[in-house]
Amino acid sequence: MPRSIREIAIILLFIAGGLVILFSTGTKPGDSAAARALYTVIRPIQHAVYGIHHRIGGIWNSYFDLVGVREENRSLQEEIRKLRRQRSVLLFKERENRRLRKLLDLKRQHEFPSIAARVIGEDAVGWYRTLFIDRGSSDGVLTEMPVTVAEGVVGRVTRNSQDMSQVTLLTDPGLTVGCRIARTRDRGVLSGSLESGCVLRYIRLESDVRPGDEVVTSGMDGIFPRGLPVGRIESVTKGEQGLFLEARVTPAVNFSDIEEVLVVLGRRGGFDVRPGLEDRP
Amino acid sequence: MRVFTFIVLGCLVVVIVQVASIGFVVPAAYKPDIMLILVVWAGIRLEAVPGIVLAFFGGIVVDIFSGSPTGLFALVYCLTFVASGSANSTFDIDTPVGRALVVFVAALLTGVFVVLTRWFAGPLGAGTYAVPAALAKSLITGLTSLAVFPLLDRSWAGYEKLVGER
Repeated sequence: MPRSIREIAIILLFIAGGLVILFSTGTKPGDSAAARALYTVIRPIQHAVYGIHHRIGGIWNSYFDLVGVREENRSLQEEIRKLRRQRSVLLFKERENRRLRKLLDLKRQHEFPSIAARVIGEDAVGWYRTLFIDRGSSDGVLTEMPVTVAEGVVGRVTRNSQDMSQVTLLTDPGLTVGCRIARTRDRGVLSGSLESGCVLRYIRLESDVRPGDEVVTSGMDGIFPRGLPVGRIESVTKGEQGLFLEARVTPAVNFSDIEEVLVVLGRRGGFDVRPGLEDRP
Repeated sequence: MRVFTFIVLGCLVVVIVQVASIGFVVPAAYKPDIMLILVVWAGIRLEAVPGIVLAFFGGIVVDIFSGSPTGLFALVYCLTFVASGSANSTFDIDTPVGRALVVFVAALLTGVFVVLTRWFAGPLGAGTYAVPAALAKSLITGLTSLAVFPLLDRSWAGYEKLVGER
């Protein structure tokens, strides 16, 4: 119960205020002057409060969202890693398959028995151009046997043990191969060079050898079967004494990419290279 | 006896690294000669007998796993061991730079030795290429020694701790 006229006046004022607001409200809420006034007062506060709430809510939701996204991200990344691993394994197998298919074709083409071997190491110090293969005397691999890949000649077996052999590469100065220029049929002796590539020596002065000409084995050294691709002529110069031509040869094989090779199991006495035989088509 | 076990293990690990793995990082023609670093390390750290045993057998192992005539690296490494031991007793070379310099010079001399023996055997077809190639390879070996020497010191210390007195 109101205790004084003042208290009753305040109560009435509020009731009147309520009535004014009630009767001044139009058809659309918020159109009345009182409502606008109320909004004007409340809006900044409401905005601030809502803003804070929104931010907190946002942070909260983001946190939960992030936890979910992070989880999802992690699982997706794991899946990507797994797929990448699978892809690289498949690519590796595909490349290996392609290489082995080429080797198999080459093996079928060879008139001589041959055996596939895997490269397991390279020269220990790098001063020599050699590599190691996983076939040795127990597989029938002996020293002096030619080593090839589908692209051409790789080198020659120079040392071997029961399960492993050392192959001296075509680019080693210690290896010489009897060769022939495919177009002109000129002969020469090819040896490696400490610089990149090989050098074809003792080409007759009258030869029409030109850069780009293909060089193949002549079979005259008794080690390499004739007709195996060796490389292409890069440049031609006159030899030191001026009696022969010399040519720089780019090998057909990229030696840093070799992973499997084919060892030609030729007779130790060499291949049949009777005079004139190497000229037969 | 225990030092010899370390030598055998050291040679095996180094040759495996040289033959099978370092080629993935550095092109074959420029790969560092880690066995040479091991020999120089022995010249500075080990006594004469185990050191020369390491140099000789390390050289033989390298001869087997490279195209060199057998005995070439055994000889070169023995000379390197003696030279590095002498250099260590005469000058203060036991600093990272000093050791790298000794390894660089040793690698360069090894290169000269190899090129000379190859030159005697037949035409090299290298022209002036041999000089920058030898210099680059020696420099790479010298720089590699900066990392390999502390590794060898640590391995040696760990091994001594593990097996006790020599």
